[in-house]
Amino acid sequence: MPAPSLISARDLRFDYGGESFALSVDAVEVSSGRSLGLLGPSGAGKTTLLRLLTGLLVPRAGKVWLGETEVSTLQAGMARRFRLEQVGLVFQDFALLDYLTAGENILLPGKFLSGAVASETEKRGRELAERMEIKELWNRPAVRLSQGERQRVAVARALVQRPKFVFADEPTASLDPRRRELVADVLFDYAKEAGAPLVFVTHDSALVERFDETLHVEALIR
Amino acid sequence: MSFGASANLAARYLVRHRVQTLLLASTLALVLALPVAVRLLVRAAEKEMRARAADTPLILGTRGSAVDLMLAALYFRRQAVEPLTVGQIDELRASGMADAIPLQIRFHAQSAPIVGTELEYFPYRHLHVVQGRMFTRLGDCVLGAAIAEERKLKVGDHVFSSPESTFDIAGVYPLKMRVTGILAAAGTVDDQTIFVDLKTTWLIDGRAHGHDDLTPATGADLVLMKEEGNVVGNAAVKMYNEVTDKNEDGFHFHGDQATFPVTAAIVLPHEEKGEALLAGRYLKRPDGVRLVRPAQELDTLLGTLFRLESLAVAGLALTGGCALAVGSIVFALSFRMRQREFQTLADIGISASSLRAVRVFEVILVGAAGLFLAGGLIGGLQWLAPTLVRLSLM
Repeated sequence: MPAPSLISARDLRFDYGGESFALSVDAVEVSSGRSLGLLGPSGAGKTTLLRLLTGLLVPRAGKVWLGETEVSTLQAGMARRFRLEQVGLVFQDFALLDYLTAGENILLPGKFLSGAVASETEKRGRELAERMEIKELWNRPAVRLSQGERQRVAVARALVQRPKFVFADEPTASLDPRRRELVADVLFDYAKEAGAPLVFVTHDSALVERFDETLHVEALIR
Repeated sequence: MSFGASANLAARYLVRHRVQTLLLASTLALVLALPVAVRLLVRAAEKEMRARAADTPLILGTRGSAVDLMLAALYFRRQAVEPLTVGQIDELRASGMADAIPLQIRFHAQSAPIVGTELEYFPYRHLHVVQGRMFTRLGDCVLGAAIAEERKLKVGDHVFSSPESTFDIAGVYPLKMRVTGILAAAGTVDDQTIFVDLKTTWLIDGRAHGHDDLTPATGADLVLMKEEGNVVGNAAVKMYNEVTDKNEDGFHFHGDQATFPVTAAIVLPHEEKGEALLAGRYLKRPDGVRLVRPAQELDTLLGTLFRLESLAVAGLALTGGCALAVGSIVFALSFRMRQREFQTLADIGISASSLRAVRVFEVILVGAAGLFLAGGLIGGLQWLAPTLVRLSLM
């Protein structure tokens, strides 16, 4: 079935094997360059839905397409390759490697994608670092970064390979208001410029107005 | 899959945790190097001992441990060996079947043995002086190359013999010996030795001494009493602890030199027949004097050494196996503790094979570091082994 939108999910059903949590989503559609805010209280299932949309979780039922690719049925190895090449992910816990520097963390996906980091990729990484005010931290080990700095490194890493799809799980949670706007600008601007759909999990009511669409996930808990 | 990125990630992790990495690599290095080191040292000991023993056909000594006698005569190890007398050596020489080089190994200067011998010893062991000359009078000494270098001694300097016991004030007095020559390095125990004339060792143990002249012309006020031709000096008589050009004539021996002690003698038979005859003659002497064949004694000693070596290597191999098992568990636990990190990498999209490669590279890099350290240890030991063996035999 051809996907009319760049991110498309239909009749998604998911649970973790217990009775306390079950997610049911009839439809999610995010077009090129547009943004979807996943809203709701903690534990509502926002992260679960985001992971279903990226292929990190496999739904019990339903289908997920990213562009022409049905990620919900991709074999694990293929799904990993697809994410590395086409998906930019900002994890809730930042998921940095403490023994690498900020710069090495930013360039890590590129290194595994092509064996070596192209000078163009490194240039883009440094530009992103500058834009997110972490340029001077490029050579600092991640273990010595503050929470806010780690968060910005995680966002830069997600965007450095110019992904076709961007998923961000609370990417502004540890930031002060000025830097929250800064990081949000980077993500929204990238989505617009690259024509990439953006799915953004947040608690932050200040950001709600910036989304093209929102989805209140708490309504989906059984 | 990118091996380069996996190797880089593994290397960065190990560098970041360098203390743990070094600890693991060092453990591996020890596990690998120790059995090799034991073998290396035993082989070096065998080579060193066989070479010296092969050059020493027979040793004359008295009753007691033949191994102790051999270690004393070949490596100047100060063993509790009952001494021969000069007369017993003269008796062997008088047989006309062999030459004998006496060795008196009782005293030391700090840790270095002082060996009393005769000048024939030096050409026999292919030793020659590179500085100065051989000893020519009582109280002179020549130094092995290593001891001269270690103590920064040169010709004209002095060496003091050490007392045998610090608290024995009635024991031997230190003798100040003049260094007349330095020997060329031989790569043997001779390099660590201080050589003196046999008579000098008797001077150290008090069988000879030197003091002020007590003749009526110069030392009348030093005489306490005269009895039956003996002159007894009073407390003002000065005893010499150094032989000089001025006081050389004041030194003299007391007693019959034929009864003076000698630890052992290297016996050099003129021919095979003479060697066999001498062996028979010294088979069961009532005075306990006997001939020992170093090569034979060495075979017995090395047989024991090899048995011990096999046991040690087996033990070390077992310990090594256990250490490797523990190392594997350490790796397994480390990977398990880092499960979240690997999951993160997987979530980003890094392939399972790349992540496996990261783990494999970490093991390989630690293994390579261990091998490198083990190689260094073994190389260093190979270089040091002859010296270590020589020092341990002294």
